[in-house]
Amino acid sequence: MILSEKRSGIIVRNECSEIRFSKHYDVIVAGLGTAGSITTILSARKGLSVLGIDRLVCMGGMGTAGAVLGYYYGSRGGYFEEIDREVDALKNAVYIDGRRTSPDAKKYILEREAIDSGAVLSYESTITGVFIEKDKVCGIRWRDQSGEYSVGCSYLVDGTGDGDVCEIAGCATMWGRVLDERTQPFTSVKVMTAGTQITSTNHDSGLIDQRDPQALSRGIISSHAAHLEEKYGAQKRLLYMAPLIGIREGRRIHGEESVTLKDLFAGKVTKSPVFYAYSDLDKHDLDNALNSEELQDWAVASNLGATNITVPVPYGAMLPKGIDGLIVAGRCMSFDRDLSACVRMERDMQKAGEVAAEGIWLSKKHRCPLKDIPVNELRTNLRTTGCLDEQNNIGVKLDWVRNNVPALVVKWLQNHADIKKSLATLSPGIAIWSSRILGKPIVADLKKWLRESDELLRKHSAFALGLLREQDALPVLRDMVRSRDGVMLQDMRKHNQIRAVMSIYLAGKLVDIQLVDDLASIITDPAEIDNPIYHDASFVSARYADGSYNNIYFQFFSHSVMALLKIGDVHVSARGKIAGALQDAVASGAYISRITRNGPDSYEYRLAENIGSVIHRRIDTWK
Amino acid sequence: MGKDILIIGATFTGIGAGYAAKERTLIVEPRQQVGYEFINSFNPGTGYGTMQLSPVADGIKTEMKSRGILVDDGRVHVPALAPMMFNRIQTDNIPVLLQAFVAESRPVAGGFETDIYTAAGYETIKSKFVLDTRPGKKVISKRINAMLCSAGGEFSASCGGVEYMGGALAGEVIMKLPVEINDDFSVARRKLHAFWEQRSDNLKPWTIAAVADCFEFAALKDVSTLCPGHFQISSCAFANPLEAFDAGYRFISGGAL
Repeated sequence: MILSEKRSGIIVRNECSEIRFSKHYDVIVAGLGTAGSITTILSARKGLSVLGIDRLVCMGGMGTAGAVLGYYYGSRGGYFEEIDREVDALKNAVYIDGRRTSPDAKKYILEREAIDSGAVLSYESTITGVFIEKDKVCGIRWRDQSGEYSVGCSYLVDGTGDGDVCEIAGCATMWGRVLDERTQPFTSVKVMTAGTQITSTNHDSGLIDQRDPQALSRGIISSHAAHLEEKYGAQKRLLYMAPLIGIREGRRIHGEESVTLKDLFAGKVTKSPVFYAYSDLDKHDLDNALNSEELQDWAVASNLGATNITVPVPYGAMLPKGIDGLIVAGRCMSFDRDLSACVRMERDMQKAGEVAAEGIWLSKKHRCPLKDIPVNELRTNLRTTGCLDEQNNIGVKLDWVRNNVPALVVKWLQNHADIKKSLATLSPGIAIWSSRILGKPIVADLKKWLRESDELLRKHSAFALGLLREQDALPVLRDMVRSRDGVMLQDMRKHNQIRAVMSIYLAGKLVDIQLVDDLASIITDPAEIDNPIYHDASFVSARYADGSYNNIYFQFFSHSVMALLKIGDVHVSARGKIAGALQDAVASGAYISRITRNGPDSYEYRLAENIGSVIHRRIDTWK
Repeated sequence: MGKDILIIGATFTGIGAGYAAKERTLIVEPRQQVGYEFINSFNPGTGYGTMQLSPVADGIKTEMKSRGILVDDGRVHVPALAPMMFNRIQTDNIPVLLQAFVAESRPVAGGFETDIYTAAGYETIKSKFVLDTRPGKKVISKRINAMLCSAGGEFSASCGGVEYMGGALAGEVIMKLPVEINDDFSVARRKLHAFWEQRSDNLKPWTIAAVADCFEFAALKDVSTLCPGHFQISSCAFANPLEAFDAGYRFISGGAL
């Protein structure tokens, strides 16, 4: 038997055949958060012996300690709905009313269900090691306030969200964005009461690498400090700062099955999902210019970033490759970084918790490895609670654009006349993406529409052509860049794109060498910031109404940088000129001060600073 | 990793000790919270008017007053101490490492080795001294507290053994329910739920806005020497956060270590 532990950031594996476990559990759940809570309760309800451990003093994770008071999308159906009904019954009777949930009522209900079902809970505890025998997990080492213990188990559930247990067990994991290994910003939540309602406020607090203890600690301190108010009053009375920060992104496992955004767009999805995840690709990064091309094609070039998508989740995405007895329930499932931003919502993570319990049950019943359970039987069982419900296979949906705009399940356009009509509006996103799907057959018409007098049709056809890598789009795209076309499209309720920024992205995609001087000017000319487009109050969110961060300038700057890097990657002869411009642009901190007035610890400063790092790293590869 | 003084617990006593010797100390704390023995137990404390404070603690008191956290009659809006203390820790560069489980301290030549468990796994910190500010074995009793709220109206109640305490802001009422020392959070939470579910009719308009996620402990207020160089001062033993802060501050600045 091997004990796998983490010491000073390194996984250490040692033989330990002499270990005698003090106790054996059928199931150990490490992390009693959104998903792990459900696994704990449902496993115990099936009569399995269950130990649940968590470093906090409650169950429920982000929905309780993290003070995310309501659901953001996810699919309906499953055991969690029963919990929610019980929670609702306590609102106003014992606990304060929440917008959609009361965290303390939920803590109470989850805990009651777990304990009354026979689960053993240990709070203020953490897992420190995993015992493995012949590629199967057979126990853990964990500690609480009073000491460290070694216990055996038949199944281990990684409910940490961040894949902490999988990492300790030595499983391969992925991290962050391909370009710079950055993850999404985290949040710090402040909980208040106003009258008889509980309410909260949060904002994207910054970027941290939670694998680094010092960085994690600094991030928590600075994010909570940022909530300090000049004067406290009774109108929105502070109750507490959430004792769990909201980390949106962490490790992702390499699973028995994996799903990527590209696969999803290509229709290469599992035919046997265990549930359907549903949300937009809820990216909180403001530096979307650094995201994957697939994601930018969707969110920038097609302006569909806030469109909801349905992701059929395969069971194998929850099983780390190469090890038995270990299953993940949480956002560390095997998705690429783009999809992980969608497959992480609380409803869906509760479903993952239910799948984990059911998978374990079938593995025990059939005396087979977790990966060999009969998936059809699993799916049948999951249908009984509504966890798996084919009606949740919604596809793509514009759920809420703005008031008086009805929700719309998207059917991609096939008829060229319909596409033309839609391109000639300020909401051309569906037509642009439909053109991408149609491909070559629509190219001739798109080129024809480039010559039409209708400005909307002409410009938006250029976006569709650019997405199809057609060089004919470039003259119109160049015009939009040079004129700093400040029209913001209207497809989405949030994250709508400005046409000049879309054009810069597509010019980069088409590696347009003729735009090098224009793009260089955007990032190097100190007078660029004086252009009125960067000061249009209608583009400024409430958070930045104080002028502390200029997102429009940052979008122009960051997309121009990335476009220049792409051009330089292909046009070797232009590298000297491009490298010179890029280095000039970030040679001093002046560019950062044009983007933000916030200090070096702020999210906005670090976003801006990171652009400089990206430039230097890429240019180094050109040498 | 090494420091002169390892402080266990980002309590008010721990933070006070950190203020007294920033360069020599490291505070390790398993939670993502600071000063939780008062702030997150919803224990505002008492006796604010009678203390002789160190200049640093006096500065904290002045800031509390200026932000409306401490009012003239001694009532406190205790949750707001959290962002205030986080801000001070950041601004004044107090060395705090959050989310660090403390496993074990053992005497070695020249001081102590303490194993902590962080996001990086096990690490060992060497120090000449250890100051533990957690409740330890000094606990005499404990309570689970909750913030109450209602649509309006004066709160008026008394019930055997249960204390109700007003905060600094209108409508801010804290209920303090005694529990057994051995009760863990799941047991205590269940007792609190049952108690409030069965409350009298005049209390029906009042609901629980938030249950504390730290117990309020009563503990012995002294400095213990667990072994030479390893001390314990339980922050929760003091009447209020400022007194607890000064206990740590004066212990270090007084030259004991």
